[in-house]
Amino acid sequence: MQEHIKMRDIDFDMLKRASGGDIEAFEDIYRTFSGFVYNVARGITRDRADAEEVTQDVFIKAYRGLKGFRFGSSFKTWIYRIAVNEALNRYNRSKKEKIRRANYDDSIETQPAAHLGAEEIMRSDNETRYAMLLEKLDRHQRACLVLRGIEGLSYKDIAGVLRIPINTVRSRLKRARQALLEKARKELGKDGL
Amino acid sequence: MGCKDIQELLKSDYLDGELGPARKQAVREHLLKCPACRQLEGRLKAQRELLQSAKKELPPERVWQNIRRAIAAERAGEESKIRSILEHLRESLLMPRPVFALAAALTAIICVVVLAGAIMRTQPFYTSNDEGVLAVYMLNGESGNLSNDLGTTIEEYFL
Repeated sequence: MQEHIKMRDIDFDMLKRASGGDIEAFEDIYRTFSGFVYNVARGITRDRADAEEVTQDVFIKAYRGLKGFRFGSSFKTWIYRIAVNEALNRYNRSKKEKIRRANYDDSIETQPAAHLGAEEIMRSDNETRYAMLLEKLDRHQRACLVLRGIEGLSYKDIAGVLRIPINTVRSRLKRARQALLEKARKELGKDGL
Repeated sequence: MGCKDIQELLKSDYLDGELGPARKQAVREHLLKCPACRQLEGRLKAQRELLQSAKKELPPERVWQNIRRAIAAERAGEESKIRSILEHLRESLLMPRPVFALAAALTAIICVVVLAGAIMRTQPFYTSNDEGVLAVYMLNGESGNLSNDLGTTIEEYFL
């Protein structure tokens, strides 16, 4: 059985100190969770600059929310949830912005933004293919697939983060994979991936 | 289990290692004898590898610096807000408001009027003829002459 990556826990005292305004304690929390937040944000938004902004927003929100945080609940689930929601919102905003910009470019008859160079495409081939495929999924399927496929969270953890039943996690993953198989077959050739 | 059930499991629990030992064994046995399901398993594994090949990175250090700056600015803003509230309270409590000033002025006027009235009434209200009528008892119990016993005007008022 493939071993799941356990969601990392946080020291209770550190949390208490951070909620009292101790910036060093908050930095420790940042160092513990920033990798996860950043990678999930990258997975969902597919953009480094967006992922940086999401990470920034998530931790500023977490800092503000710490004072009202109920210490009986799980901090890691809480911060993961903020991360996914922020990333999905950012993705939607960026998508709308891109559409708006594309319409503007069309209206003034300019060339669209420059494409990646051939060398860069070769170098980031996997990432490009991966991005192309993820782009085809709906936002809920994408969130599940990123949490499972990239971060290796268990079904139970994903259900906790997204506040959905485990069976919904299962069916979203199934549909996402089925959709990826079909897209890959259509766009990348007969054998797909 | 037929191919359809196996393929459903391949796309979820089997691929994700969420299956119990007995069902996992059943899927493995099916895969040994079913090339179509084996092919699907291969494609799903390739898909998983592609997803996992995405490099995991830490955010650049500037992200933390921005967060730290934002928090410091927010705290400074909060502190200045609290200071301004305290300052406002202090001013409200210590500085005389017009209504208090008016009340104080009225009180002062009333005091002056009452005092003036009292002084007016303390003017001598007897004559030398009254001396025989008014008697004052001295502390030692001896009766005395009014003209000798009356001292200040206040004493005269109460008598």
